[in-house]
Amino acid sequence: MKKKLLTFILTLALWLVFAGHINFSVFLLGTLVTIICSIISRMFAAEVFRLLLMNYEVKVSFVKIYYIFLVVGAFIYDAFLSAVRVSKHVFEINPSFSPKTVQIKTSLQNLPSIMILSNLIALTPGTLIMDFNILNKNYFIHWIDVRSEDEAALKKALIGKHEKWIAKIFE
Amino acid sequence: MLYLILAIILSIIITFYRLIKGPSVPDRLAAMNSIGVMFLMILVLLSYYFERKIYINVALVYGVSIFMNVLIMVKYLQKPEKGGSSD
Amino acid sequence: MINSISILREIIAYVFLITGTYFLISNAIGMIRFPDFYLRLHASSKCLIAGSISVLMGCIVLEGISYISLKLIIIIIFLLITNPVAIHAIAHFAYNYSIKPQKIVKNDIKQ
Repeated sequence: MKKKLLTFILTLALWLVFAGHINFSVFLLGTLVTIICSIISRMFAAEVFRLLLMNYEVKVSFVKIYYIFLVVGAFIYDAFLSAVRVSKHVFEINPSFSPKTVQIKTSLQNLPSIMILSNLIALTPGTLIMDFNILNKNYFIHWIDVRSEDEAALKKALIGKHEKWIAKIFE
Repeated sequence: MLYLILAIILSIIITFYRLIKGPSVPDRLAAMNSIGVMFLMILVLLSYYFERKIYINVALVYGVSIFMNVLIMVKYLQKPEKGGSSD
Repeated sequence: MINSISILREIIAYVFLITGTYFLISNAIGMIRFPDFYLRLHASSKCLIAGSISVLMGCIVLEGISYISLKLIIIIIFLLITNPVAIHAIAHFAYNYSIKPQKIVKNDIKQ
């Protein structure tokens, strides 16, 4: 019941933002539409909220909100940093690359957390995911701009730090 | 504001070259995705240029359709698996 | 006093807009100049996401606090979730389409 109520409140808030102004008739029409939407999407919503609301203590949920802000901040910071590096490569006269393909093993278990980690790897500077092996839990990653072994160790440590944050949220 | 819109239109024309000449199918898919997002930026900036803020709703719906477009194309163009049905 | 604050806000908004347009143009030139498919996909993922987020943040600063900036924030969240998924779908499709990366320095995947 709690999951359905949370889905209903979130969808109603989205409806009120889309409408643009608050009125009585808008509110009445919004409740009708969002009840239908929350009944239709309850199969998908149960899968997501089972992970988010596993334990209902107040202190744990505040810690989770702190890590969610950290992950979103890492998204935007990495996007801008990597875009500056790639656009520096674009305007060079003779661009020189050193592409590699690398396997990295992960220790996450749930499917949504693996999906969020692959989104983060797609935005860190110079990495791109080619494939994921579901049996061995290996990422196949395509790198540019990694010249020496020190840079490789530093970037693997960066990916491990993001992996630890995501494990705090979902597991 | 008008010069920014013209600059984005110029970048769309440059990307359109890769859409025509691209040597393989995934090149054309990547070019199609980037043209879609650039056109969404033009829709947002045009609503500020004409000072009609209700045009942002058009951009909000168009953003959904780009994502569906890429996923349906990728699912349709895949090679059939060995011994499996290609749906 | 109020006049100077509005001028400062407009300057910040135009800095965001010009940075976003620069990223979009560098995406377009990178799609032509890079020699390999996966290198093109690098340019097409990072510059595209950073450019679109920067243009939308400039529009939010130009607008202020209203319902329209809430709609722009929803567009930003939607692009942050769906654009890496689309790029990953294209890369997975190309890897199954048997396009191998050329001019590679070190290869760990045993094929």
